[in-house]
Amino acid sequence: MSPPLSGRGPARLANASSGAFIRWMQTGVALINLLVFGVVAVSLYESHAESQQRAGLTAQNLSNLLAQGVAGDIDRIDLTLLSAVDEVQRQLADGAIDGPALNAFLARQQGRLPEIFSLRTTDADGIVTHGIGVAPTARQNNSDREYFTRQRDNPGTGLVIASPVFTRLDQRWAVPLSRAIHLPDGSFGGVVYANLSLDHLANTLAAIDVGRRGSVSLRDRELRIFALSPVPANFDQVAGEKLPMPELQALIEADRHAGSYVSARAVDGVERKFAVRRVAGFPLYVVVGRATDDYMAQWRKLATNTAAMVGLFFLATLISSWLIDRNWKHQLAATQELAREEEKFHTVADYTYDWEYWEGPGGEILFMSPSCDRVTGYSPAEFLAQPDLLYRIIHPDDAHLMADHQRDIAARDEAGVDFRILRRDGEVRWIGHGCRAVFGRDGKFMGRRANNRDITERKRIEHEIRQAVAYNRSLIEASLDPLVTIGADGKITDVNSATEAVTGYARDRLIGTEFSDYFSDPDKARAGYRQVFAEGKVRDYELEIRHQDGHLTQVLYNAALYRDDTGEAIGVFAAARDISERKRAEEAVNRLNTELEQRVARRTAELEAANKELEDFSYSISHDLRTPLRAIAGFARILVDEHAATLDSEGLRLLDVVQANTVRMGRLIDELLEFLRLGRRPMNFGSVDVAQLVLEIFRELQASVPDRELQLVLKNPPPLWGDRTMIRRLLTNLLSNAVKFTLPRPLAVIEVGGEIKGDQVLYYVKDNGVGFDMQYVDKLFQVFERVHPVGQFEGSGTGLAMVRRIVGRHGGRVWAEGQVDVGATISFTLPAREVANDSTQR
Amino acid sequence: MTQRNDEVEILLVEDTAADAELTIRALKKNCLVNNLVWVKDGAEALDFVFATGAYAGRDQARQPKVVLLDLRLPRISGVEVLRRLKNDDRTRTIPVVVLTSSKEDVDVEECYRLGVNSYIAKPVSFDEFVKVVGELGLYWLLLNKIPNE
Repeated sequence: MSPPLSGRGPARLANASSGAFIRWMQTGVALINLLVFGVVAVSLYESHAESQQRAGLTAQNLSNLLAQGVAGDIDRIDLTLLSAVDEVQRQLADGAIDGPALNAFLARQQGRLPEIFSLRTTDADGIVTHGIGVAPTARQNNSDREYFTRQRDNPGTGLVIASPVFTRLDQRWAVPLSRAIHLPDGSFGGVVYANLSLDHLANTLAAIDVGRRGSVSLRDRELRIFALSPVPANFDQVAGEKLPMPELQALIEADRHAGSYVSARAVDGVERKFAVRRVAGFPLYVVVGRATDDYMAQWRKLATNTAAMVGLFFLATLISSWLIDRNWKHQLAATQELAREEEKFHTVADYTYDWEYWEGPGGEILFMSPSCDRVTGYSPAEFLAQPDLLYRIIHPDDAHLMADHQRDIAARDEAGVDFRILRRDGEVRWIGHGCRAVFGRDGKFMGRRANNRDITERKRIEHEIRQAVAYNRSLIEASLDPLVTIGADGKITDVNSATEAVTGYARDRLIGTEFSDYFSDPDKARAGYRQVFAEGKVRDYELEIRHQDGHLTQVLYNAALYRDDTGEAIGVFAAARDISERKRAEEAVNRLNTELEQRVARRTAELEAANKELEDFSYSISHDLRTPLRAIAGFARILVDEHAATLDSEGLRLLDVVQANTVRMGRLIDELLEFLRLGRRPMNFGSVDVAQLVLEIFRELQASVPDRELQLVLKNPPPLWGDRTMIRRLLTNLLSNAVKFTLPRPLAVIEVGGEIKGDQVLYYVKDNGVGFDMQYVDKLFQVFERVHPVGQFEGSGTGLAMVRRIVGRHGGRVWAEGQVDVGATISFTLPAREVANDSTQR
Repeated sequence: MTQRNDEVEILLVEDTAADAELTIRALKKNCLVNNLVWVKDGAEALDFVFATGAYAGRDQARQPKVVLLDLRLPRISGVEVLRRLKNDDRTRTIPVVVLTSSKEDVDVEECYRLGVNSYIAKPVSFDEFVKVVGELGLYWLLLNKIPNE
């Protein structure tokens, strides 16, 4: 069976790709994050630079704007100062100062310039002379003021912008601006000065938004602070003071009109970006400082937001990649689990030993186990392609079984049927089919799941068992003895028809009933039953079966435990022998035996008597016949010896005849005795080397007839098993017969041979003598019977009779063949017995 | 026969006159018939040996030198005679030669079991008979010494 190819790939693929996927995903997330970081960093860097640049630019522009504004204010104040100077000088030129007119003039001029809060004149000594709020009598001397001293000490100075002061008259901070008044003679005649309100400057500066921590200041070349925005709480201390600012100082010393720098060395230590612009035409500088914190605040906010976004993004990617990873792993595990489940399913489904399939609701094959090939010879693909193949291979004779089964399963969820199929190769196989309906989770009918088992072997065994059972049953029924099996509870489990006959009850009536009820002595029956359980069997247990009609049958029970295949005793098998018949027979036999014995005894007695007679007869022959014979011979001899003189020659010849016949009769008696003795003599069996024995006898015979020429041909007579003395007698008789009947032959040829023929050994003695006529062959072996006239050949006629008796006593057979003037062959067989084993000892 | 028989050498027990004559002739031919007593049956033979009956008064100390015993005898058989002789200390040493025409094995074995000294089957031929009788007479009368003598 080839392993199915499906159901293995996904798990392996999933395993292989999972690591790579996770790595690729992590790398991708890292790269995207790096890219985002990079872009954000570049963009922040750029916006940072841009912010810096813009801040610088804005500061420049603001400083420009302020410088222009301050320049315009100063220009306007200067024009007013110039016109005031002109007015004073004109009046002076006109002779004298018209006080009120000048005051009015100054007041008018001052009124045009809101940024100044005073416009006044001093004399050459520094005494404030004219202007709003000037009381000539007060003689306010401002000769110590910078705007005065510088004008007085440096004629031709032009406009002097003095360091801020707290004015004595107005009690306000102001930047005094002054121009010198020249007397008509050209000498110094005082100054016209205007107090530019620091508040105004401050307002001008404050109008510019430089940020929360930005600062704007107005300074002169000596870095004295003229105005500050925002106005610090300690403005009084810093106004006019020189605040060291090396960058600014360097810039001023370089005589540059504009510039910028970054410094933290401000009053408050805050780092700022400063833009410096010289107020055009005046030694004043507008310094606009934007706090880095301010102008970078937006960038910082942006950067913070961006960083937060990036962080969020990073976090998001991290979380999502973790989620993806986890999800992927879950999915992977699920896929692998699915693959394992699928493989398990395939293993379960494809490796079934039985032929299994799933038939859909429409009769289509949804699954076919590969084992169908083993059972049917058709492949799963063939079944899938031809759903009716399932039914085509059913043996035609069993089609009705399947039809019944189909009706069956219409009514039931589970059903089974055994039927035969024809395999592809034509072989018939028995199938044990079982199927059950398949329902989905929703209860929908999804066809039938079927299991087909090859039960050919089981069917064959069942058939054999049925046959064996039938055979056993027929054996049991054939028994003339009543047979019964009894369960452990003493109830009959089975009977044969002989039991029915002996009890008079039908089998159905007997089975299940108490067995002891059918005996004349139920207690003894139960005792026998218990004995079987105790000892395993009973032998010839006498009981009496009671027939329904009341008559009793004497039986002998032979019973044994029978056991199941685990050796557990499950009951008793009992066979009853009806001995009433046997007893009758025994009696008859006994009677017959008695008669027979009597008859035998009578016959034995008769036989014994006959034997006795025979003994007496042979004894009398030997004794009683010989005694007169001896007397005849003896006295004939004495007659010859002692009375020869009184007898003539004829008388003597007659006496010779008498003597010769007495000798012959003596020999006859001897031979007859020997013949009779042969019948009674006990046998002494042993191995006899026939060839050797023949040779010995032949030599003796040759010695007895030295004038005759005898030739012995030995043709491997095998040794035999017998009484050596008797065998010697037998061979002697045969050989001497051969010698005797070859007398007329110049060369007597005597052949002795033999061979083993199955369980017999055949011997023969053949001669080339006078032979005999086969019509007298029956007489050959009878006592005193002769086929040749007395006198022609010596002999009493007991030789072959003796041979036959010896062969007979050895359990063999003897016969003769002969032809007149050609020769005779005497053959005999003896049982082979152990002779065959000794044949190698020759 | 004679009452006084001091020098009995052969006791012939034979019922057949012809055989007895032939035996005596054969002994004669061998010059061995001095002092031969012929009794015609076993009873007479026992009477002679044990000096009873007709032989009462016979001197029992003088026993024959050999008993020639036929087996087929009237009244008491030759075998019985042999048994009585061999079972009695007085007669056990008398040599007994069974002379019989019987060659039956039973007789031979029985006689030897009872202690017969010789067993002779009388040949039919007279010449041979003479020869056999001569040989046994020579042996038992002339050569063989009985222990108590």
